[in-house]
Amino acid sequence: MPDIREQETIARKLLPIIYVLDTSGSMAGDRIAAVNTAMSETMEVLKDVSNNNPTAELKIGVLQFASGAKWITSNGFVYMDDFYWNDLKAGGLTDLGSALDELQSKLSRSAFLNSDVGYKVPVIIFMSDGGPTDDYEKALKKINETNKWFRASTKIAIAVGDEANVDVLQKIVGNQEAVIRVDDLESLKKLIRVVSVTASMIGSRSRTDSNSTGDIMDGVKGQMGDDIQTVDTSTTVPDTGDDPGNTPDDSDDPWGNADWD
Amino acid sequence: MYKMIYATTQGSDHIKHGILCEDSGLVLESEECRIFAVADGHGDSNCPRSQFGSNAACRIAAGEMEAFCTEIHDHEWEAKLLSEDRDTERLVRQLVTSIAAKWIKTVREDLETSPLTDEEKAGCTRYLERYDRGERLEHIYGTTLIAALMTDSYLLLIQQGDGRCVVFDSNGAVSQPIPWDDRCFANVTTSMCDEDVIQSFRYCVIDLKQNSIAACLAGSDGVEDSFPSMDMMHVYYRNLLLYASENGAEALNDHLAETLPEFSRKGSGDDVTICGIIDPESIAGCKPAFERDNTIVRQESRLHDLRERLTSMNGMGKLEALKKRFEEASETAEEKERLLQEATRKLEEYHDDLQQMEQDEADGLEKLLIWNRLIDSIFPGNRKAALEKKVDELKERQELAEQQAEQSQEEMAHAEAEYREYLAKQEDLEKEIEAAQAELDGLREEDGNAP
Repeated sequence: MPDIREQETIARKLLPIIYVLDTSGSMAGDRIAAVNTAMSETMEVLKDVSNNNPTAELKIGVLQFASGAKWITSNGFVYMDDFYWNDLKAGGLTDLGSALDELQSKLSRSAFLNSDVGYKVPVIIFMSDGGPTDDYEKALKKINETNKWFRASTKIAIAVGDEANVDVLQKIVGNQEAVIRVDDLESLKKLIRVVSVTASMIGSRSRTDSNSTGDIMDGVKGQMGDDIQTVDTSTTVPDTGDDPGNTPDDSDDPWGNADWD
Repeated sequence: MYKMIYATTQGSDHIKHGILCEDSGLVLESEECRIFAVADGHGDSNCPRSQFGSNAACRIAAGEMEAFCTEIHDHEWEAKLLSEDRDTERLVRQLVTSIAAKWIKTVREDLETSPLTDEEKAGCTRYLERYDRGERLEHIYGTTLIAALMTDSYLLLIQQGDGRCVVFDSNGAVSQPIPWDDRCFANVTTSMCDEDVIQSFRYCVIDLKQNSIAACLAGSDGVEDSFPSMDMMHVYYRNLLLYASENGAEALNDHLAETLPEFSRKGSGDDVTICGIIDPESIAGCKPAFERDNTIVRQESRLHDLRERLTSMNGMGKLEALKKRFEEASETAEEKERLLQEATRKLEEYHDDLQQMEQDEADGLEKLLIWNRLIDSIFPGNRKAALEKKVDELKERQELAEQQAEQSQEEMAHAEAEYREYLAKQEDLEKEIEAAQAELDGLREEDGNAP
């Protein structure tokens, strides 16, 4: 008699956490050092989160952008056990459009998300201290129009310092998502850890839960307190159809046709 | 002889968060046909009546399908339905139009009779303004729907939204014949509450005289979300069918009722509903094919996982980094060992000198004593005390060097262990992949499906 009680087939879903990190020249020095320290420390914490999470196992992707964009995890997302942080070096431009093109190319079932039902919707964490130096709008328009993984993903952006282009980050993460502004390096380090852990815990919940970005933001704000400033995107980003960077995110627009769980 | 399968359970996460079971299922048998329906209400607080919506969708679909069956039979339209041309499209589109219209009417009537309570409104944070304006009120009841109508001559399947409908033919081959809507993705699905609900209904009609089937099963997304791949979901369904062929459909229904809560807890956490029409006798004939397919799929899945692990191991250059760290630790340990040996040698030299001095004094060598006194008178201070002090100092240095050498040895041992462990893991994985691939090749060869 076949044993239909056997649970061999039931497995934890995979939750990709993707870091899109600005390593342009303006990040050189203390900023990139802070990011390197934070990433290394954060990964140790995430190992525990992943091991103790009954519903999802974390996989990590790291994409750096400066003059062009490059996946640090070039073979695909890596399991926490295989993560090893080699310090990033800063230098070059801020080719955010190239980073979006890379996301466009790898966020698909024929690339990094090579499983029909095994992956949860990714969490993407952007971090930048400047403004784009390439045609990011074209890349954003394309990825919003054609990549459903990107559209459905939970997107959070960290704007570092006064020079960070918050408007652009808002457009990338979408109207209903959030941009967090941080000024000092200690807060940046803490924020990377807090956003990562909070997003990985909330992002791994079952799909019976909705609006994970709001919950993540609530969790981050609760832990960071006055160390960060959040920007209400819904009031600062005009919702104009002409703006290629402002394509509405179906997953949060209830009045489309592809929006319900 | 076809039998009906039906089981549903409240999701473990729903229980945890105090959310109602929003899935509904229904089976119906008559002389002319067999019908089942599965509906999954949207798990969103902005759809507070999705349980009513899913229940209504099942009831209405079943009623409309039964009427459709009668109409097709009375007008002898079976051939038209199976024509795979515009007639099929016209007939099915009429059916889904009727289902959608009745569902919208039903939910609107419910809302008129029982307006949203304050508690329900509290959950509708994002959309309350639109509800208050009377816009798109059917969203309050949003749900998906899969329904099947089976007669002696055809199997009609319709679907709006996600969930999966799986058909096993009489040879045991599996398919999902209803076209998929790419808009259904992750936590996003089309819905009975969409404006284009009629156009976006998908369907398929199977001619049972040409293609007999062993089973047709439909599950809400709580089923597929419990598996790493669609193939593994099919393994689960094959096991259910084999269970039914050996124990009967009723036993399977009982068994599902008993096991689905645990299934949800270990899997998706979501509500889970499975409905179906199965022929246990036909399934018994599929047993060899089912068992063979399950073995192959399990092996493929295992191989896929192993390869994923190996790719991940090579993904960030961890092995090279660990190797480098080990090599650096080895160099440090060697250097510390060299320093220790030097310190030890020096200490021993001075120690020997001191001992010699003590020996000489003890031997009372007259000349040496005179010489020592002479030296001490030229350079004030006690020469022996200075030598003893130097020995103590070197001893301290030697102890420190010893500690550092020990520490660096420990660090090297740790780095080596970490490196060798990771290396061994990678080598084991490579061997495992090779063995798994060979096993899979063997299975495929046995099956006559070698690539």
